[in-house]
Amino acid sequence: MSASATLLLPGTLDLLVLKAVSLGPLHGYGVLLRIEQLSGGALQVPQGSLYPALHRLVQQRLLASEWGSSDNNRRARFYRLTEGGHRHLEQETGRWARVSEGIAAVLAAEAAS
Amino acid sequence: MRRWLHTLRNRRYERELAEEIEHHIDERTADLVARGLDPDGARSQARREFGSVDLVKDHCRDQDRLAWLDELTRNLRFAVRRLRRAPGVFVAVVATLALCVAANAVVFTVVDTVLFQRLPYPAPEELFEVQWSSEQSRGSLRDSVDGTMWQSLADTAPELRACVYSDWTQGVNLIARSPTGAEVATVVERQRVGSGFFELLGVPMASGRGFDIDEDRVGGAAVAVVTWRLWRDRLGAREDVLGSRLLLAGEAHTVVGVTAERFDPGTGAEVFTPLRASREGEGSGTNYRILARIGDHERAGATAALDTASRSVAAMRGDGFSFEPVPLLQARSGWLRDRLLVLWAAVGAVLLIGCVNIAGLLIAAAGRRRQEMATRRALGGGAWAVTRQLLTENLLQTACGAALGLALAGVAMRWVAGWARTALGLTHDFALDDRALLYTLAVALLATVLFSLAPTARLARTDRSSLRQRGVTDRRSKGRAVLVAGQVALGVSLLLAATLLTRSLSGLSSADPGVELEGVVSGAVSLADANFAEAGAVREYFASGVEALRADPRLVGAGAFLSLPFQRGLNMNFTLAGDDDRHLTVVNYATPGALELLAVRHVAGRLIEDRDRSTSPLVAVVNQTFTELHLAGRQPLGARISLMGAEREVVGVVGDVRQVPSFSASAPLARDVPTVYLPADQFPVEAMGMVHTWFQPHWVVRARATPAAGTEALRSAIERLEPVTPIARISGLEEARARALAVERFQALLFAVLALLALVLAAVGLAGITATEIGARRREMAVRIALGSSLPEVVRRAILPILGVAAIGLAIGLLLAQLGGRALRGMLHGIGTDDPWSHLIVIGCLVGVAVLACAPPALRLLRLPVASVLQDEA
Repeated sequence: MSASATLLLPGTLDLLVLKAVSLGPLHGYGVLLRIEQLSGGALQVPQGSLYPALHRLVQQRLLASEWGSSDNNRRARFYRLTEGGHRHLEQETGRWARVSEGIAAVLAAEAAS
Repeated sequence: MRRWLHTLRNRRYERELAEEIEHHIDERTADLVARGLDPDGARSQARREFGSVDLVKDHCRDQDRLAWLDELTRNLRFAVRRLRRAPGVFVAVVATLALCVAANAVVFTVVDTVLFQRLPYPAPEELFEVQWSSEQSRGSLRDSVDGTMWQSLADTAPELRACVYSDWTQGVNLIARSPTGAEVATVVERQRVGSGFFELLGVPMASGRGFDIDEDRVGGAAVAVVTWRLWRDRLGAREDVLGSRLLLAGEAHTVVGVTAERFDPGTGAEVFTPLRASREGEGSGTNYRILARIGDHERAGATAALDTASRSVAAMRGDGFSFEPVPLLQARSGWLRDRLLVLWAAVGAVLLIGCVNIAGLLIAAAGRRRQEMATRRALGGGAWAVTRQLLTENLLQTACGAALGLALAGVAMRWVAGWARTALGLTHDFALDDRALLYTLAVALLATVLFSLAPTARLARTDRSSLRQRGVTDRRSKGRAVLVAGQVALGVSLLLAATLLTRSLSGLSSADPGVELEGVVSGAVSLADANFAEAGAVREYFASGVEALRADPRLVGAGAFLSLPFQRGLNMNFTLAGDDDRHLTVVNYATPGALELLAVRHVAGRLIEDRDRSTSPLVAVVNQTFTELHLAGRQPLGARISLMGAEREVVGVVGDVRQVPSFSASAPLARDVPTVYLPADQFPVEAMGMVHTWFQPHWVVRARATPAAGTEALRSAIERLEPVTPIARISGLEEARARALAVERFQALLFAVLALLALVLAAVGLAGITATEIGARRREMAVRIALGSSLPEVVRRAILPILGVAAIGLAIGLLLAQLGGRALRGMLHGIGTDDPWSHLIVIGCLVGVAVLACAPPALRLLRLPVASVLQDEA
């Protein structure tokens, strides 16, 4: 976790968690690692917020959880994406893309000469 | 709530949450160690990075909490807060609902217990009463049979499981040894039933058996079955009671059975003896009833058997006779059915009125909450979420109202149940049981839905734009006016029904009884007793009794009758001399001077005198109705009638006396019942025994001073006269009249209570709409006053629409009552559903209520601070 890592924008944690899990079932620490890895260490997930977010997504039925064993043969709770989670991820990805394009366009504007 | 939630989430959840977080920290520690940190340092850094484990756990728990439960808690908490802030509406809603729920619960319990609940016997749906119809009865069913009908049924359909019994109970003398060894004579209610009666009803005996066929034959052994209660209270709960002797009606009876503790014959009988049905004597009239048990698989067989029996009786009578099985429950409660159903409908109307009131209160409250709702919507509360919040509030009110209502019902039930038992003679066990609870719950929930619909829909519809229209309340709410008019209409029809029933009752009870009631005290004795089997015994008893009573200085006079005013009399057939047509008349007997004692009007000829002995010429005194019906156009005095096998001469005519008509019933008490009075000494000896098994003769005295003195004089004289013939049911004639009208009084009073409730609720509804209306038009009124309208003019403008609503409600209500009046028709006597006085009373009441409801807000209008209203709202 490098010092240059950026804090997440509010509201984006759920999206990132869904994306991370969509690539394959993960336990909580695995989600953390995968987001850091995918962002090239640019995004820092606050560890304290990760678990409430996971539990919230389970409550919303976007994720499902089950107990399995981790790489070092320890019992761990694994999360995977549900059908609904897939759909939700697609929608939100699209929305994010539009919003960020919009923001980028606005920020790229230059003063008219 | 929170603690409860914690226990709800089980320990496994906590363990897994801890394990998950521990796993995270372990993994992180392992990673840090892999990056070269020493294990201890790695662990503490992992913990630092993770932050407070407890806080994370708490956040996780927050996410995992059962969402709906959480919302409910929140809504409830909010509702309680709101109700605490505005307790007025809450109290009004809960009180209204409680009254409605209480009334519904009580009436439902009575209706359900009497009409719908199972009889207290095993497989009660198999029990039937065999009734009959003939061409003469034009299809309407008769419940009593004569000995011939029963015998034909028993002979032609032996496979039918049926028995014959009498549903009349009579007081008979029981002499039992008290625990101290003294012999005590009391009067107990005796019912006579055929063999197989207890077996058919199916409640096993506590000990012993019912009657067998030999005991149920004329000349069979004298046996008796006693109820558990009699065995406990009068027979000292002796273990060796079976086979013991009981001196019943002057005759030794062997006790062969004790019924189960909870056995209820439905008649209040305490002791049973065999019926010994026959074709002669009492069996020549329709004095029996037939009970049958028909199982599901026996239906076809039973129908065929009844058809065969019907044909054999029809062949004998030649009048299209037909037996018809009627479910026993229906046969027993039929006489109350219409009254109870009407009562049920009335209480339903009260509930509707209450719901409208509550809806009105909530709509008014909603008007004040538009701001709040609009804010909630603006902050992102969905329509459904807002609706849920409102429903939660209403459910909370419902729960409080229902709970309070049930508590009220519990109190009222005890009163109504006691009344139903003593006044209506119902032996049911009235209790708010689980059926009543379920019904009440359903009623309360239905009420919630009903009274929540309108206001909730309005509030949930409130959108964000309402925020801007601050202070602008609804225009005149037409919907609410319609509801209030409907409510007034229901109230009016209930009030009219109650008024009609009350006027009918007061007509019946204040009508001229044909006798003078004041100071008259009567008491019943049982002469169906071996001591009175001898022809002379009864005569001697009456003669010496009259003598003893006349000697008492506390009494004006004394006498005896077979039946008294306000009672049901004995029916007999008679013929007029020179005519073979048989007619029915009530036959009574009286001792010399007894008619004068009651001050029965003396119309012509003479009354019964001392010279009318058993050996002197047979005479009769008839009443005016008798002469009008049967001696019209003739000189009644000297007419000869043939009655109970002997011809007698009419020597006198007396006025009509009000009594319970035993045939051609038109009213619970009637004066137009043809009646023949015979001298007690001349009553046919052969008929005496039979008649006295049905009727207990009455001693009558008139006290010089207080009725209490009369009571005492009567009791001491009669019990000294014949210690084994105790006198029972001593009461004034006024009480006898009240007893005869008990059903009418029960109905009229319950209706009056319901109508009062309805009227109060309707008044509250009117007051509510007036207040809202005037509140909403304050500004308009202020402007009018400022522009120079006179105050009376303004008040008139404000009140008129409300009075209009009341008037429309009144009109609809009267119309409704006309339509529903059909149901009441059979229950009104002496007045019709179009009784003008009742209508006037109702209209007067409603006008009064409307004015009362309008007055307070109108008076407030008079003190309207015009300037400040105009400033405020400018």
